[in-house]
Amino acid sequence: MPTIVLVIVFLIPALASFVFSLFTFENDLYHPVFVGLANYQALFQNGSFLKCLLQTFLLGVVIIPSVMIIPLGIASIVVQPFWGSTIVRLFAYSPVMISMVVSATLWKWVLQEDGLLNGMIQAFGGKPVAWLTDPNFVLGSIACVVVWKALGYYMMMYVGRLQTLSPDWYEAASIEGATAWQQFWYITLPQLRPTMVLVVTISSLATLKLFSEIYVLTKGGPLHNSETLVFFIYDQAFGWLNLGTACAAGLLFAGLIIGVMAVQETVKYQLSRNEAKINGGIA
Amino acid sequence: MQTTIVLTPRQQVFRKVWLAFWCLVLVSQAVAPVAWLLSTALKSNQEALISIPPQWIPLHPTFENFQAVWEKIPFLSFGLNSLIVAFISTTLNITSALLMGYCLGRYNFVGKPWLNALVLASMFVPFQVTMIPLYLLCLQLGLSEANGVVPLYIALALPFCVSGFGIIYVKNAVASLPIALEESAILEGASFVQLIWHVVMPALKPVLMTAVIFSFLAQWGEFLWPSVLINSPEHMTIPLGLVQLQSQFSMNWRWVAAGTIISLIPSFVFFAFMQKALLNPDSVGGVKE
Repeated sequence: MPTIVLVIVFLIPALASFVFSLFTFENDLYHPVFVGLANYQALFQNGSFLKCLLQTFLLGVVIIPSVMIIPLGIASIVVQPFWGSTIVRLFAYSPVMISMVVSATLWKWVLQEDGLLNGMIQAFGGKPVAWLTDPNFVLGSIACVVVWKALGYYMMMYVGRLQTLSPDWYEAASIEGATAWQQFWYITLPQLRPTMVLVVTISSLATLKLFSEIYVLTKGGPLHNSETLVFFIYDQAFGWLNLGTACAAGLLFAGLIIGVMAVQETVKYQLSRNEAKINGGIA
Repeated sequence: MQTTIVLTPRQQVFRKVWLAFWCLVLVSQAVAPVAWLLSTALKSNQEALISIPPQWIPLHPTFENFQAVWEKIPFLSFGLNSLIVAFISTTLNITSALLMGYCLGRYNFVGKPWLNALVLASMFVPFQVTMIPLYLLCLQLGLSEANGVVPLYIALALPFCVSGFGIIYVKNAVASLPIALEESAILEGASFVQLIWHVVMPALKPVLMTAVIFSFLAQWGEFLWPSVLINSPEHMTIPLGLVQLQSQFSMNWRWVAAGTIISLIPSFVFFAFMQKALLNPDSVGGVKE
């Protein structure tokens, strides 16, 4: 029974998506015309599709390293047992609980031209910045909002791993006279590698699928400068009713995701092989 | 993570201050945007929203914005819609994940590799790709808001009632379960349903709880699919209602703020009840693996 549902909600639409991508719906929504691969061809000649691709990539370049590094710093603070560490963890995690639409609304009110951030900047004598309407800043602002919401999630992943690390190694290291920084660099970091790979996997998938934040914060503007791939698909399908174009873009998008996953799997495999080699060498 | 480096008292004090400083930064970055929204919602019409420097504490706090928004916007019906859809899809999602995950984890049957491949493939093809045909399918089947609330609820829950992640998650958990318990239950003459209900489900309780929480949260905040299906205000879920609130009262941030704060209340109640389960680090990364 679940198999049948899976076929209905996944397999049939996925195949249908491919079929649709070979047709054009531009003239009449109910009488599509077969055009072969023309939709795909058009996409690659379409500046706005390539722009969305580039912008999604740029967001990833900012977001993925941020959520790899910042939550690790936070985790190494809150993992230490001290009075109130649970409460700090709770607060740091709370943005994860907020839905994307709400977090985007919160930040819209902070980042607007007459919002909180500009108010503070002006209070210190600075010049206001059009965070959401200046093409130079809009992607950075969106990345900030995404990172803000995701920090707690990745923090908990690191905390989970840090708690399982054996204290013996640190004891041995400090007897040998290793500094805290050396201990972190040579003991903690190598052991965190699987978690980091997982963080990169999850965050790159999440970045590729970004939609709600952009819909609420900028609606893709100013002048398409913050559109991502999913926003492009949505806009083509439900804004312009170009179902063929949207499906073609969607399939390219799926190909991209599978490609990204394949690269990451290869990296993961290489890493685990290297580790096996090192461990084998010690033994 | 404890180090046994001995610190002088002065270093210890420095360390504590350093720690407290970062904790303060951490808490305030998480809280500041929410606090600012709350402060906006509490400001009266006479008070300026924008001032330099920003006024954090309202001069004359008032609840009139909350009252006005509550009267204008049917939050209860938004909440009810969200709750029903999240409940249906979570229930179906967990049931199917349990049944399929268990079968894939324990039994050998004809076509099992194909089924495995199908489940994996469904994880890699993003929802945005299947969304358009699925939308047309729902229209063809009459599952749209034109035909009433029930078909709409079914359509809203449909794409999320089976998830590859859930199935794989349960399957992996089943694989690590000792088989002896189930064997003895079968020897005692338990039927399949009894086996699942009395033996497998209790053994998998933590795993299933985690899956329930994350599935529910994802559904509660889902925006893309409902935005495709829903047009009329009385069918809207909370995220859609909020977006509509913004476009309707774009000039009145006091109301938008009040509405957003209202919509946050259920999330925080849920958070308060679930924080133990949520902050259990074992449960966080596991959903994905």
